[in-house]
Amino acid sequence: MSRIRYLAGAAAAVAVVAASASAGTMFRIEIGSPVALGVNKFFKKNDKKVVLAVRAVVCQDLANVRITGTAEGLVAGKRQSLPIMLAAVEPAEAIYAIHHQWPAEGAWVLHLKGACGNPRAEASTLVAVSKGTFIREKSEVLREPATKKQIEDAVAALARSQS
Amino acid sequence: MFTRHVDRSLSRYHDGDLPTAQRQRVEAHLTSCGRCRAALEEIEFSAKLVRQLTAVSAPPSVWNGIDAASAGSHRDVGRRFPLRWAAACAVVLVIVSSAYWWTRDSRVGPWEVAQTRDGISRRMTSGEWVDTVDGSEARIIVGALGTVAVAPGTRVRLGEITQSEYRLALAQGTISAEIVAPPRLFIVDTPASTVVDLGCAYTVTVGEDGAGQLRMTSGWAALEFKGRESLVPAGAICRTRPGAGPGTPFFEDAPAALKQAVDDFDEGTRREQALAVIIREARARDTLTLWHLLSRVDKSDRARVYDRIAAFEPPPAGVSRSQLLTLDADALRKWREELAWKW
Repeated sequence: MSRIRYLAGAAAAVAVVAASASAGTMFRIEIGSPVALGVNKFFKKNDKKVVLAVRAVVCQDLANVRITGTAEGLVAGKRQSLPIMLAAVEPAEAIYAIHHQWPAEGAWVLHLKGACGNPRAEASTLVAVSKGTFIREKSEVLREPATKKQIEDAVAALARSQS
Repeated sequence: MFTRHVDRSLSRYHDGDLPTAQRQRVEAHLTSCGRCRAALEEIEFSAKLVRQLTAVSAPPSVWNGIDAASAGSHRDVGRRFPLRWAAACAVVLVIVSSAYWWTRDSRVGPWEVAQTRDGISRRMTSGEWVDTVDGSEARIIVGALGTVAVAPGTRVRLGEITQSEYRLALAQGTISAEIVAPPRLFIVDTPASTVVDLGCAYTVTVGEDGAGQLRMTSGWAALEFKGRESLVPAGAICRTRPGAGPGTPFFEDAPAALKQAVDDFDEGTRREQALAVIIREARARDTLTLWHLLSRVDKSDRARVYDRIAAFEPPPAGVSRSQLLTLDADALRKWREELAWKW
């Protein structure tokens, strides 16, 4: 009987640890309409098409969150990967704008990733883009780094939907 | 309202030398001041021109002259070379200024329109009409800002071009604009509303009765009429009716019942029922529609709309329910910017 109690206690302790660990992974990278940036903030001297707004949330150290990204594409059956630039809008709040900077042809998914120092966590978001805008229902907000398979699947699914 | 222009800060703004707070002040001012925006454009253009200047090697005769002069007295060098350099600088300055004024004039010149029926591209002036009622198509080049495709069966009047504004008037038919420019530089007047570009691509259609529809394909635009404004982001549609101005925007992928209810609400038919359907059917993304309704419903219905939006996304810190229910402009803007993360 005491062994069962011991096991139950251990299981409860594991559950508590797991729950507190998962609480730290609420960190994520959100995407939104450029409207979120407001005219005053997103007006830039060399303004180009802003496709979407990006921000990190649920991190106590947002000023040190750095979000990077690549455009993952499939153009005429050929897989391509391009680094993309994020324009800092409110760096202290980890808010960025992404301008159109990938080819117009083909199917493109933006792979955004970022890391939070406190609590320590990594997150990524896969954003399907088409004709200068993003497709929310085909985008995925992940509370962990995207795997290679997830990226490939997202690109393939978008390419299929466009064919 | 008294406005302090920011032209003295524009050079430093252009070079990225302003502190954040001052930069934000300049950016805020630029959104509403055509004069300062034009001044910034001139600075950008001059800087671009200077960047395009290439270093050219001087001919051997110049170097020979320098050598010969160097062999002479130091006093001669001190007297003659500064004069020569000054003369050379003056010549360069004149060339650069001439090039600037020459190209600057061409930027605000007449419209360039290509009509596909005869395949001829021609310059047209403000006040002229582009008419494709005969079934042809046309393409209007909006300076360096982008292009406007004119569908068959369309009448568009070319408006004034200034440093701070390019203006078209769509009387009937369909145009599709792709514009890459600072906000509020490209404007399309329709019988029911004015479409103000905020950096985007869109299609505007106007019917024979003057009613129309704006469909955004990227970025966002504002529809304005007599102080009434609808913000329309990519993926959304907004209809307009003569005399009533812009309607309530909704996303194309919204539930069919919601879209029908928005039309009913805007037309004033069964408004109470329509509002109930909108509130019931709205998804998180449809807070776009609900946010616009907040200031358009009767005061007695406002709390219901507020509660529905707040269920998806509560107001941000510092914005209260009472501020929103009394339609405080700053509070509404802050909530809109937070809600737009779901649009």
